[in-house]
Amino acid sequence: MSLFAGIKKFFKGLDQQHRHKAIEDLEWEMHELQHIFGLLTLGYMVGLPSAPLPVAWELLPDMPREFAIMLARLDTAQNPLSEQFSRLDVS
Amino acid sequence: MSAVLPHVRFFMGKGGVGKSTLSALTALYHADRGHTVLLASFDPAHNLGDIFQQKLGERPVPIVERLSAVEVDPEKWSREYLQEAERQFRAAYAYLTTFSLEQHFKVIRHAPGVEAYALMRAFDDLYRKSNVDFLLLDMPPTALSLSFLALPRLSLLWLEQLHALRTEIQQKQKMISRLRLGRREMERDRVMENINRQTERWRERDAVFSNNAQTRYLLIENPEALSALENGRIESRLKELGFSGIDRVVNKTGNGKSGFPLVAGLYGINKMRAYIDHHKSVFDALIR
Repeated sequence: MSLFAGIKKFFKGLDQQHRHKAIEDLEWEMHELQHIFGLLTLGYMVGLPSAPLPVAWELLPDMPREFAIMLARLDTAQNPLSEQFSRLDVS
Repeated sequence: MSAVLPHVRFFMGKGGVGKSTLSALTALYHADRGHTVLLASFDPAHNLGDIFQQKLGERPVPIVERLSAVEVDPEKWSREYLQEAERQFRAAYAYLTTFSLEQHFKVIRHAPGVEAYALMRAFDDLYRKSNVDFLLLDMPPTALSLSFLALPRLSLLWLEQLHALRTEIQQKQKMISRLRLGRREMERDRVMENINRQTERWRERDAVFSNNAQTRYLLIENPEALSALENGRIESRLKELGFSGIDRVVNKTGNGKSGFPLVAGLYGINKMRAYIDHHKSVFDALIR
């Protein structure tokens, strides 16, 4: 492998690594926003103030994903710090 | 909404001030002057049937030429709404076998907002189908009436926030898609479509409620402090909601004061017509 090809490969790897990290961060941010969206629309189920019932109910059939997220979120709701640490690779 | 948009009149005020009687008299006043009128009672404690001395129900009953009346059953509209929502919920979440749907719907039945939204559906139905010049509504107790009237603004406020949040989610999705695949292709967002659909419908309702050329709020009170204080609160709330077509009307007046000198036992078409004729100048001045 020539020196040029080696440098090119190095930068390509670096780009991929940064791209991967950026996607990971963006996905985490997006999931957080989806969780907030889920809470704002489905929060009434767990006693939180949320959108007026008619608005929330009409949205419900079109948001099975958010509904699933909210149910899954209940598993991690008790331990938000551990989720943050695991995302930041802190052990 | 229908091509012919009715003028809407909401009769509100403290219990016992004469909302039903005045709404019935106003309906007859308009009908006798050549307008088509539908008078609807939204009050669960109906007494329009007693005033007109006719049995009324969910379907409009002709009272005199050009005038029909209906007694809306809020319970029935709530029940139908909950059944429809339950059907949609079950269809969308059939896989959630462990989720206790029955329990969920038992709780929802008594959730705040259900009764007001049930009335909204009844209102939509009357507004779209009645095809009359005037739609008069004898409103339920103040708390429920205000919840009903606040629903469009409140829903629009929430939908606006949800739209903004959804837009942010979509932007993140676009960025992820571009980083991962080098393109911006996006899946169809059904939630956003739903938000837009709902926004359009709530805007239509809000436009009806806030158009003072089409819709007026008649706040009925008696010449005593309590009903006037309650109407003061109703007026403030309506103004907060951006509604301007508010008329405060005093009923059961005496000594030539401005308002309706309504007497007890005013029921039956003949007595009502005689009353309107006798107080024609008051009706001409106060009824729009």
